[in-house]
Amino acid sequence: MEKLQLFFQTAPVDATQAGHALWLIIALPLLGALISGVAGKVIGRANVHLVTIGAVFGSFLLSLLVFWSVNDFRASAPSPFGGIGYAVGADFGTWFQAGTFRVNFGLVVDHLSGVMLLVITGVGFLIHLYSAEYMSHDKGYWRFFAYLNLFIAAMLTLVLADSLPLLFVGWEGVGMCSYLLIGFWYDDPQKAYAGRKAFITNRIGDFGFLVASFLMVLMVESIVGLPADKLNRAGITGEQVSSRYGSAVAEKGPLAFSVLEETAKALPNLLDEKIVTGPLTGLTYELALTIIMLCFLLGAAGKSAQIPLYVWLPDAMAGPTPVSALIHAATMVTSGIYLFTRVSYLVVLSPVAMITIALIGATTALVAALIAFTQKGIKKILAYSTVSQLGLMFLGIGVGAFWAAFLHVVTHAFFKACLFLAAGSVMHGNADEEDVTKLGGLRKEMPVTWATFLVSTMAITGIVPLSGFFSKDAILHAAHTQHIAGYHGLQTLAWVMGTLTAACTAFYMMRAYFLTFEGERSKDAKTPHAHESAPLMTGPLVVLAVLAVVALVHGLPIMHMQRGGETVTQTLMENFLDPVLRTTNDLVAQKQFLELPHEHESMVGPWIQAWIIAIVSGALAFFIYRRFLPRGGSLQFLEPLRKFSFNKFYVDEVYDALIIKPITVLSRILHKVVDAVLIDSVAVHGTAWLTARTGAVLRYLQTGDAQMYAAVMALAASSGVVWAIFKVLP
Amino acid sequence: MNAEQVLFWLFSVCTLVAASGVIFARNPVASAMSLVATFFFLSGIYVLLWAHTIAALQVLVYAGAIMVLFLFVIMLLSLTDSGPVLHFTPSRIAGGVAVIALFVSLTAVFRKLPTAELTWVGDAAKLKNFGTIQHLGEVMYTQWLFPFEAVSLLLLVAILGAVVVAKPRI
Amino acid sequence: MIIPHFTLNDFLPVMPVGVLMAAAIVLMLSEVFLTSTTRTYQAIIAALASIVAGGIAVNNAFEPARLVLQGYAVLDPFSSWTTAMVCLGTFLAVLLSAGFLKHRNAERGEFYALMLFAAAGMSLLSLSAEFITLFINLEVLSVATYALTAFLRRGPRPSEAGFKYFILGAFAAALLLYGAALIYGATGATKLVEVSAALPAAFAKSPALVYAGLGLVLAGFAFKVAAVPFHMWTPDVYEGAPTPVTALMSAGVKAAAFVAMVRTFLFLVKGIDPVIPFTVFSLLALLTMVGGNLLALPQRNVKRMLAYSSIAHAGYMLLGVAALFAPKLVEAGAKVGVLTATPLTGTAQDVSVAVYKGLLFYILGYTVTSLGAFGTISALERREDETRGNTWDLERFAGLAQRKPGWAAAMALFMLSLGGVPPTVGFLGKLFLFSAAVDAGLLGLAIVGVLSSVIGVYFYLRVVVYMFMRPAPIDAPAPFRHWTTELALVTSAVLVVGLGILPGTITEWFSRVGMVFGH
Repeated sequence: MEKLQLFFQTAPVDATQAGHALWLIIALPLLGALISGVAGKVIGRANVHLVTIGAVFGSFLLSLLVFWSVNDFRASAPSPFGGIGYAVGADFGTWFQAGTFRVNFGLVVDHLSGVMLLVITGVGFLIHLYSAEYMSHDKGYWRFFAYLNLFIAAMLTLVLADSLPLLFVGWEGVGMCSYLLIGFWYDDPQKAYAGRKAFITNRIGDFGFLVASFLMVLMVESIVGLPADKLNRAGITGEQVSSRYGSAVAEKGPLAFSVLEETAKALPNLLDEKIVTGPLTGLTYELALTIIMLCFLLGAAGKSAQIPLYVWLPDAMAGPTPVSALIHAATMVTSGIYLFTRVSYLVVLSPVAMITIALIGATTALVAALIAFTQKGIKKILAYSTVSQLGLMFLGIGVGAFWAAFLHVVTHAFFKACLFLAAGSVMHGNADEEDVTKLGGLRKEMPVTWATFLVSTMAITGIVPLSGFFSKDAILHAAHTQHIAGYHGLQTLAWVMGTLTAACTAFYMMRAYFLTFEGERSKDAKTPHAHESAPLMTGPLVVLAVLAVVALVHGLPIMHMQRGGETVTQTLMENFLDPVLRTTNDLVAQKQFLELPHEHESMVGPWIQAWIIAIVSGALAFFIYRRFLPRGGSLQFLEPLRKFSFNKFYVDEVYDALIIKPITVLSRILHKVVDAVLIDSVAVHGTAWLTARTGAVLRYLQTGDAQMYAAVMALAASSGVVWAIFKVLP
Repeated sequence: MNAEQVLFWLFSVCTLVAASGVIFARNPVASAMSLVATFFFLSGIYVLLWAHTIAALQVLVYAGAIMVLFLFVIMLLSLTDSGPVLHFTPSRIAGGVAVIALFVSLTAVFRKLPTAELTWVGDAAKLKNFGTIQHLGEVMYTQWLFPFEAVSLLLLVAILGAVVVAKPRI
Repeated sequence: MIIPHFTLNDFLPVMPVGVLMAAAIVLMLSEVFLTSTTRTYQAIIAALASIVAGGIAVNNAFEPARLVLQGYAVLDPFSSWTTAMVCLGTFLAVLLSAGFLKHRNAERGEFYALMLFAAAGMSLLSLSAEFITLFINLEVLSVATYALTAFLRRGPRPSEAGFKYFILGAFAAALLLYGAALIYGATGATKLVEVSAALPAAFAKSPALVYAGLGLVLAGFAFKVAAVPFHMWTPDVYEGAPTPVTALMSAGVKAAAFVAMVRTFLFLVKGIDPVIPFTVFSLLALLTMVGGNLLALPQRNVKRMLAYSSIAHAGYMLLGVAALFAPKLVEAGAKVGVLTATPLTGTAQDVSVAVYKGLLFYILGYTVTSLGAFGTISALERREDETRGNTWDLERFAGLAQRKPGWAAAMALFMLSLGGVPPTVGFLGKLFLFSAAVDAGLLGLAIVGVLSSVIGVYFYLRVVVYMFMRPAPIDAPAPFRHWTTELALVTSAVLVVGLGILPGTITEWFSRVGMVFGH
């Protein structure tokens, strides 16, 4: 065992070298995208596959290597504050600079981004493989793989970034790729519309992200100007801390994560003080921080499909299924959770933000789960399920269980990707039939797809001992036991909603499973017989299903740690993320905004609870759809509710009436009055007309008469002389 | 007012009158002859400036050779005196205004000049051979060598250009 | 008697001129002994001579700045680079002429000889440091271009153009000469160095005389650089002249005149209130930039449009000249106006080096672009149209992209460069020049410059639109081809893009050697 540990802790690559080679991980898929996008049509399908899949696989290998060296106990990131343990990174110097504000181009891998790296490249690689078969009949294969590789590159940029601006580059990049891929079949106007919807909704979120970043810069700069005694904290005092902080901001820029972490360390003493410099003057630091966090929440809600911006994700299923699996289940949509985990030290300083995040997450989780009850499209069900699971993760973030939320990101990536791919396999084998009521009985005809779908369904439902159970339960457990100071009641509400969501999840997932795989084949099926997909598609399914099971190790409480004189038992993931969350934990201990449970009660009780919930709901689904309604149809007395849920609570319609219509009307007025009349007619055409007329009038001076030319010259010369003389005359 | 000044005014007024004759005469031959007169009076002014050689060259080259060429051309083209009647076209009015403006403003400039008696400031030895051919040659071939050579280039180009333009159409 | 003593050093600056003249005389004599009918060799001789002369000039550019030839000429990087660019322009113009003249059965040794003489005149003009020399060299250049303008007399236009150019040029030369005479009267000197030494005293005694002299000299130069309102001859002459000659005039003549003007006025503004030359040049720049672009706007005749465009570009160069004369110390808090200067951002020395660099680079960029643009036009002209007026109508360019995609692409490139669109040299030239002008404090004028170049984009892009988006007329004849024409166009296009992407070495040379004698 110790040898194994030592093996993991001594990487074959030097940490500094690994840090300087980090850009390669991004560059490989970028190159793949370039080759495939520029020359893809010329070099042919097989070569495109080779290049793009090879690029992702290369990134995966590099990520493994880097991940290994992160675990190296000798590793440490270069930082002005001394080493952050277990991180490698490199600062490639100034990226851009304006006045005193600067942003460095730096990449960093620690345990948080390391895990993300592996998930992105690993799952990404599997999905690339799957896509090679799935898209084998599509003429736009080269475009597809170029976009997919570009997406991988952008997502890697997002997680490797060591500052908010660089993270934002990846953030925008994944948004753009998502738009391109949702609207991949752009000749279908509905799909193109879905792409636009996703893009615009995301832009609203990006606006929040940007505002948050700007405010952050202002806040950091107001701290730089503070006298030294305000910045005192344990260990470092006086001029030392002030100058160190100032030089760090000057060297790394105010938006580097290391600077933000240092800011968080300085904040506890400042929270009640008023900002005295800069445009934020007059606000307390706590209020400013809360505003920043809420703006970040808007950004994260856009990307991670939370209320009120979740509406784009279900429509995003218009894209090819591998895209739904990769982007809209496993990776991109989790970037909101990644962002909050990254800046967790700031989140825990603002109870208002925390409870807001928790409530938004819990509400989203429950609403999406309820909508998922009645959806017919298999991908729609999975999409709402994704929204719901993301809501749970937000709940975890909100109650301060960052590791649990993050664990759920990982396990969810596995089982949801598996579910989506299995759904894709089902559609592939059934002439693109999506409606679960028109499927059925696929268990025999598609055995591998059936098995993997079942495993993943059990994982998401929370059946012990699959991975989904551990992660989801860790979140619910934290929601139950950890309390945000001052918001006990609301938090209990959030917990109840989360538990209800768990029950609903079990119900709708089992419903989807039963309708698709069990029973008789539906009479409305498009093809009489389904066929099992090719090994290139089932292979990734099996791997992901295995991962969905194996990932449970992360949730086992097997690590023992010394803290405050007593031995604490932690799960593997919690222990693993400890270096990343150390500052956060210190701040929690210092400010007590988050009340941790004093006694470590046994987790067995809640486990059984959760299990029972899952089993009961699943059984309910079984009875309803297998026993009462084996031939379809619905329960009459629930019909209005079903309709309400089927129509997604009419949220799209409400948005349309309340937001989109008024904006459209306003835009039309602006277009008619301001744009068409004022700008187009007066400003643009008017200026052009005036200029052209002036030119035409001037042209008449050009008569071709040499005598006139000479006269003009002489007049000009004499007027110059006259002017000079008047200049001299006193 | 001494004799020199009297002569200066005489020559300059006559130069101006003769030059106006070049422009306003309706008959081309009269115009050309006015030009000859202009050159003569101008050489008188040169003499007043002690530039004897220039004055002589002026008469020889311009009033002699070049004027003969002009008259030949006029004769060959057999121009009659039915030249254009004086019309007041816009360009002519503008031209007139410009000329008057230029004239007035330059007059104003000269009115502003300090009115001191002109005296010879060089040494007396130089005064003796100032304006002679010997002195001119010396200056031209030692001090003004580069401009002199540039003039030779100019003449070469002018000859070539004249030949090219005078050729029947290419 | 003073016997002048010359060393080889004295002849360094005039060596390119010597090469050009020798080749010109050879070409002139070749007509006498000519027996064969193909005369492409004449173009090759002329092109080689301009390459050799240009090479010598580039070599000279690394010599330190000094007075040579008894103070009548200077050897400084400014004039040497101008000579090099003039030689580049002559090289391209000669190549264009070969095909152009062959197509019209008008190849003559005299044509190339006159072109080389004109180039010699331009080179001499740029290094003159004395008024009489300056005037003579200006006349060398002018007489050669008068003759070239009227070289091909097909239809009434060329004769008219040549005559107009001659009359108006003589008038402008008279203004220049009169101005120089007034300055001689005030200072008693014709060498610029001595004039500049005597000017403060003369200015104190009779300021009106000095001002009048300066004004007339400036008018003479303004004619040559075609600054508004001394520009009116330009469109008529440019249109009437054979197109390769127009190309040479728009690039070389203008460059030489600009350099001579800058040099002369660097010496002539000593002792004068610095606001006056600055205001005058700013006003000229303003009028020329705006006027040139506005006048080009309604033109459907592409050659005439390019003539106005060359006026507009002279305006941008004048902006650089105005920046050179920006008052070096402006009180802080001065108002930003179009004709006022704001405080300098850098040291005066840095700024003026940047301005020289920008000016030289702009001239270089305009030379290659304008040669290319006029060259494409010359290749598209049809002999049958010469007596009619529509030789250069926009319709001639319709559908060129289908007929000759390569030429259309090249022409589009030249148009984009003239409009100042990256990644062409035209963009970088504007960038360098405008940023230098802003550094020199000419914020308002630079903004006017940018705005007026936006107007320019309209008529440049209109040509592109016609080439790429209009169908070709059915009776469109195949343009004639000649390898020299295509070589010239390819060279221009490569330079336009190459300098636009990799200006590095050239600008480094310019800034390293961008010193001007007397500044």
